[in-house]
Amino acid sequence: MNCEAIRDLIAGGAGGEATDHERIAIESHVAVCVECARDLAEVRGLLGNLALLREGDAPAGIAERIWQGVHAAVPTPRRSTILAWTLRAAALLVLGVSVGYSTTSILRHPTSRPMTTEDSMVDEMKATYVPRPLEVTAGMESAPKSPGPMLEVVPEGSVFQAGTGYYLPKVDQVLDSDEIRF
Amino acid sequence: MNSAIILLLFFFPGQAPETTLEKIEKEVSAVVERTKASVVQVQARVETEYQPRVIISRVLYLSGLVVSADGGILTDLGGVEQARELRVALPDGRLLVAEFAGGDRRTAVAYLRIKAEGLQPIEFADGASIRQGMLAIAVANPAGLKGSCSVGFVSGLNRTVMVQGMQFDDLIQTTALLQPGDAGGLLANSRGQVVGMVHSRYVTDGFDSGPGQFFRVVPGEGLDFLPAGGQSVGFATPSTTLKFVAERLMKSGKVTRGWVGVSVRPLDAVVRTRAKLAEGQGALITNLEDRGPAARAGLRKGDIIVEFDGLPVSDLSTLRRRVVESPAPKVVRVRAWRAGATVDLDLAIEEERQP
Repeated sequence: MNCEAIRDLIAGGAGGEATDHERIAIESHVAVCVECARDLAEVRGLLGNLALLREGDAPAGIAERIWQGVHAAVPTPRRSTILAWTLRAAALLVLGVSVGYSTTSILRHPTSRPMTTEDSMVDEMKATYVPRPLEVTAGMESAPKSPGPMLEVVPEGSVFQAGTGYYLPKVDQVLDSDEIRF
Repeated sequence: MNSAIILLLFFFPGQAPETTLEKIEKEVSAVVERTKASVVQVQARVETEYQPRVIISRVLYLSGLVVSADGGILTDLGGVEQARELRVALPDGRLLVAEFAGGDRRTAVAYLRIKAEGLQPIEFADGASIRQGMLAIAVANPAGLKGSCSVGFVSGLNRTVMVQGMQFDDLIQTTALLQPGDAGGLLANSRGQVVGMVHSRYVTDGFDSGPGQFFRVVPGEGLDFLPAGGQSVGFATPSTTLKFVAERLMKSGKVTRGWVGVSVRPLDAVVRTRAKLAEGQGALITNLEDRGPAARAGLRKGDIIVEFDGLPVSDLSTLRRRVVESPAPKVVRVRAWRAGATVDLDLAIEEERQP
């Protein structure tokens, strides 16, 4: 199976949704293809990030700010219908912006704490988020069942041991031709 | 008297005569035992940049052949070319640091050096002795299992395959089972000589043919998944090519080849009769590189090369070998059949550029 087909399978495979056939195809491919092994690791890291989005992770005070916006926009019975619908739309807009802000904040700072000096230093160091050490050839069975602390700050120059692979090039195409070139 | 003989045979039965299959088993076992000493495991630590300044390091395991007693190893180039660190595990248990000493992309053959003495170099089979249907014994390290063997046949010759955009010609096709970890391993004949070095495999696993081939029909039951990792077709670099490449890599660390810029194919019966040539003779030019040596010499599409450097063209593989193994630059005389007449041309063989 070529790299393009494997990449299509990887999203499901990394999330544990692959069939046995797909999983075997992915495993055998990433054992010899560093590019796809890297893609697999990225997808796993992304799934780990998404799994961290859970109730209680929103920044402190965000709920109060959302409700303040909603209260301010709630129409009184004396106001006209047009005004009432306008205010409802405004409330929805405020709610949407607030949820969007909170989601972005969580993705950037999963611990949902305020930006600290340490965070700034990390940014200055141009450190990067990566998934936990890869287990590309250990198979999908070894992928963590619960995401856990999938993110960690890695200083530059880090080297990850990504397991082993057994090498045998895979033929993409057999040419049925008796033509030779020289 | 007869009763006494029968009684003796009952208590002291003689050895049953050895069957043909037992003899074959013994021969195969002997070949595997003998050649195992010349098959090594190559370990290549490869580093790739995952994100800026963050490196993924992994180890690839493949196989290799001892070609000189003082530490010359042949293996697959793709597995070791980008390696940061190379090690060779010898059959006697030693694990030695290896040095990359050269490679040839046209055949994907690499040459490594280790500091060791008294190794048992493998013997190359005569290329002319390799024929379809002969026994092929693979000795390599599938899944890291050192010194494993698999027995099959040479199921085809002169095969052409594409691997990651590169075309590889003149390969041996085998039914011996080849698995990941076998690249660079041995394909031997029944004398334990190198017929070829394990190159690649084509896997027909049902995933390659599109969604329609994902299932199979089970009579009375409906559809079922095709089994993953089905039958595969193995390929090996033939000993003739391997020997040529090995000699040059050992001498200079690189392979230089002659090149004239033509594509040729065998003649069909109609053309052969018209040109009054025997079966196998002549090479029909099907394509020419623009401004390549053959085009500059005046050869044209549709010409039939009947003589090359004073010798008749008897088969295409031999013709190619004569061009490829020519020390370029070199000018040779070529005789071609064109529209009922022969033309003699001077062809300047050039050095081929590495792909």
